[in-house]
Amino acid sequence: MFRHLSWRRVGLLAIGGAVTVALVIAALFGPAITPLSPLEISVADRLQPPSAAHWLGTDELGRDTFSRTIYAARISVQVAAVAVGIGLIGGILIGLSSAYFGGAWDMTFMRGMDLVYAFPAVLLAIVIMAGLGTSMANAMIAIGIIFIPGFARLARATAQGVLRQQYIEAALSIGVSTPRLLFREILPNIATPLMVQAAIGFAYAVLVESALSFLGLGAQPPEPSWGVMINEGRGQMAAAPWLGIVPGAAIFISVLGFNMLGDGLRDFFDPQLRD
Amino acid sequence: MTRHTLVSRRDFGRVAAGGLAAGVLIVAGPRLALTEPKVGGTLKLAFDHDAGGFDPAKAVYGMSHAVIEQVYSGLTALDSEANPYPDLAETIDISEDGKVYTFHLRTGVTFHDGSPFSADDVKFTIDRLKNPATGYSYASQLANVTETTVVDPNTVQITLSEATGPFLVNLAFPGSMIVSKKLVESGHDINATPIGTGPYTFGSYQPGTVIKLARNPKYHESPKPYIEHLEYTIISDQTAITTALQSGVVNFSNVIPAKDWAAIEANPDLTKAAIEGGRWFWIMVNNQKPPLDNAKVRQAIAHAIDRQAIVDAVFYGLAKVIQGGVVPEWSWGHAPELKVLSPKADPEKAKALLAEAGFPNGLDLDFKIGTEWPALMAMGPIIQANLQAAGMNAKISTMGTTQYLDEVWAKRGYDISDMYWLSPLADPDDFTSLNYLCGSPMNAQGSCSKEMDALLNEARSAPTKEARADAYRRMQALSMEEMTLVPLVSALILHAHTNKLQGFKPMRTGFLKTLKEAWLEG
Amino acid sequence: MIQFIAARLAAYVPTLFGVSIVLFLAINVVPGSPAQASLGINATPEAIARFEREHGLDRPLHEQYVSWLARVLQGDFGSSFQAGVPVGPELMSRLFVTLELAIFAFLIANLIAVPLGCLAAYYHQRPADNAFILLATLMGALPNFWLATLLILLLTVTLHWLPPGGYVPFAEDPGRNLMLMVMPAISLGVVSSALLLRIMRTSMIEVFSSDYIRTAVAKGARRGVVIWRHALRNALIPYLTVGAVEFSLLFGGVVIIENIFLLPGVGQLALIGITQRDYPLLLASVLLIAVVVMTANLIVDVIGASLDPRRVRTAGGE
Repeated sequence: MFRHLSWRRVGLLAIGGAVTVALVIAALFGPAITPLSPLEISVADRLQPPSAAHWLGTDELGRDTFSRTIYAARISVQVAAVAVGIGLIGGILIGLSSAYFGGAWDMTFMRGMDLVYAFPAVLLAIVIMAGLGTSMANAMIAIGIIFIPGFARLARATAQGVLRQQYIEAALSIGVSTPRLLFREILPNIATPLMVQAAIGFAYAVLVESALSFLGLGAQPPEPSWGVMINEGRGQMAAAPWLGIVPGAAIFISVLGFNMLGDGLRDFFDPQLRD
Repeated sequence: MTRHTLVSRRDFGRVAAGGLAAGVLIVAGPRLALTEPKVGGTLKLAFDHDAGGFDPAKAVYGMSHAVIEQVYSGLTALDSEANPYPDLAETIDISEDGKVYTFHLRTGVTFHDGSPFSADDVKFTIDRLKNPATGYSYASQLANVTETTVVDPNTVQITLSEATGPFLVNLAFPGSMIVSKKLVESGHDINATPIGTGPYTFGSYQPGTVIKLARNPKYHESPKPYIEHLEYTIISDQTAITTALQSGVVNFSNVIPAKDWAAIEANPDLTKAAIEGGRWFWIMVNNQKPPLDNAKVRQAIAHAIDRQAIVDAVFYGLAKVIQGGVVPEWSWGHAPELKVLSPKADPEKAKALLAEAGFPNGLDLDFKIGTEWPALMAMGPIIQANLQAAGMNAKISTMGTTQYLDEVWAKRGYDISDMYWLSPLADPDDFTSLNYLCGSPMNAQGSCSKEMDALLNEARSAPTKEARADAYRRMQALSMEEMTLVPLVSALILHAHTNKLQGFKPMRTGFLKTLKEAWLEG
Repeated sequence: MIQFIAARLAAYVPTLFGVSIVLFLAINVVPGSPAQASLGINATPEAIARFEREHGLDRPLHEQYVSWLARVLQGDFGSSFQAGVPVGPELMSRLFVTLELAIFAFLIANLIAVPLGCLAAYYHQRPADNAFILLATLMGALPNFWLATLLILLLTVTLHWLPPGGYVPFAEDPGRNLMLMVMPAISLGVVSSALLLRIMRTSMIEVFSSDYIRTAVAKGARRGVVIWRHALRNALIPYLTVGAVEFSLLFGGVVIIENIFLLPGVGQLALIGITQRDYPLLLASVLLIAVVVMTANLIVDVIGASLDPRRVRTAGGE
């Protein structure tokens, strides 16, 4: 049964899982783990290279880069969780109802999804942010919205498959109520692909959030965010290259972790879907 | 009758071209042997903002003005020290009471389309700016103009309601520059394709990218300008300006970020100048919103700020703390004895003031910042931390320019916000009236004080410079009591350009009218 | 099949209308007035009124939309609020820049993905395969703006090999044009190559294990010939499908990358339009990008359908 559980797959799950756990810990207990305050300004200590006192140096205002990088995980994880949540819930509602009711209902929703698909994700997120205004909450909403069509299409396609199964027909014939059928019978059967997609969605949410923050459309100062930190670091490339390198590495590792977790989960649950 | 006459620069010879070093402040880098001016070459200038149209009456952004000042000429122009001299006028007679200005115009001046310039164009321009339907944003500069009369094709008389000290300076503002009556009336869109009498003709404009200008061979100060082509490259990303300059993509900039100044200074191929000009930063405080309508609370904010930290961290030392009035040290309107604010923060004093105002436990503030301005973004966390230390909890929210202008400037939906301004005229009036006068468009803090307005008016219309200076000193002392806005620092204007550029005098105003006197070595 | 294509094409135009309506509504509910943005902090109420009158912003929204649409259908995209320049020609000149960037990035992505994907498939289930897969995973996790930052740090700040950004038309100076394209194209291309590499590998594995390739090998055809003649050709179709998606993704990535490298492309124009509430610029540039993305999606659907009529698209959110 676990024939497909090769070392590579175990490795994917283990590394992905470890990174995810580390991020969640950083997000939950960031202020407790960081050696120094991520917010404390000390002009005298500005732009220090990495040292024993400041493991990853300091920024333009003398704030500790290591502490800020750890602390920023909170924002990334928060945004990713809420955005994926919005995408998942919206996507399931739309996808399930489209698959179940079909017809004009399905048509309308799917054309609506096409509308969203017509924009490149980051551009759409920027447009939405311009409309909603710059704040962390709005970044979550914007990223959540761009996730909905992906989850909706996946939910719809897999639900259509489930609906064709015989036991559903049986359930229908004995008069099971629609909500019960949708959420008790169909949803559990499509949960696995959605979960895999959600893990990958986490990775993508971290990327989009950092892109928005990079453009100044996300986290509010003095709160640290990786995207903002890269943008600030870009201005100090010659004098303090670590300021641009460190937060980018944090994004890279997080995205890698979530992707590996997603790949691992997919391999684990459905080797057929692999690659 | 005539109190004094301003004489055209042409009449006192080519002092400017020969006396290169006179007005230049600091110049590092190898000094090449002085050479004779020669025509030719392309100067590529880097700017950090985009333009928005080139009609003097419609343009509002500095970048538009930077183009307009090259394409157009005014009745007067400013030299590098921000003193006015006649430009399209040959001489200017001013009546004894300071109310009637008679401009004797240069003859033989033509617009770039070949049509001749005359007194009609001057009257047309001033009337157009005064017409409320035009919606000229700087109409307040010309508020005292009551009448413009064409005496003959080469003479114009402008009558003022009262003596106006900065009038000749205001006429040098790009917005006041003279447009062609014939062209505008013919329906030509000078906002898209400006045609003037200035040293450069308009070439092309690609939004957000580049503006190209070409030498006007028929310029009235011929053989000036010497440089054949000007390319205004727009580099919205400040970080990239320095790399562009270092790598030779551009060879001139006066918007160099302070953080890169050390690297620029180390480059032997560049000539540098750090100039104290008219760029100053302040915290806007919403005067109409309790408890900020209480001067004590605003003073508390003023004393809470560590200005030295802003100078060091945001400007890398290339700025000066403002301890009192906002007119800078180099200006005759400066108030040297006014030192109310200490360079370092004084949280105890701030707390005491807050307690006096009835807030012993501090208060919460909504702090809005526009993301487009890197220096304003950078000083945000410092201001926030300073206020925190004095018991004021400021929550920062940032926003793009459009939302910022709407929420903060149009709807006044904020408690505090940081701002800056580069005075294009560098007259004390320009430093003060715009910000302090009741109802002025730049008075977004919504302050209104009769005493202040009276002092500003006195300072503007006083008969002598000494009397004006005295009024500005009193006005600035009052500004520290009312503290309708909280002055922070005055930042140096950082210039650097290729060593090949010779004879260039950087201007206090950050403008580049003096480029017409400079030339490029082979 | 033909029915399917016809249906997709029929949906194309209404979707485009939908996109334009959504955009038009979106920009009008957002806070901030374009007049204030264009006129700046000194704007007087008179100036704002004049501006709104001149640009028809004082009219009801549906009227504005209809007149905008009518002009667009005649090929007139209006003039930029702030700069006053006609948007249509501006958009065209920028489209070339963005297309050049996207094509170079796409080339780089393929130059990485095709050979490495083939090799990975060839070494299927051997260490080399895992190494290539790992490489793809790594490349896919790179934020393109961070890669851009690192490239500037290495190639500009440290080695002084390449200029930091800017643009010169190819016709003006081909060498410099290409030099300026290197870093932006790599930033976009490397990240894009990740998915392409995986797809290439998977399709090649399938093809390698198919009977007819086995037959070809059994018949004694040389390995190289098998790979190039037979396998690659068959693997190309699913690869192209994903390639079209990636190409449209590249168009999304250009917004940030053009901004970093100061390339006067469509993405930069869209960003200017958004931040300055310059509606004519915003509408035209975002619509253009939407057209590119929709066209790519359409091609994907058609290729997909022609490959497997029963195929149900379950593409992910990205």
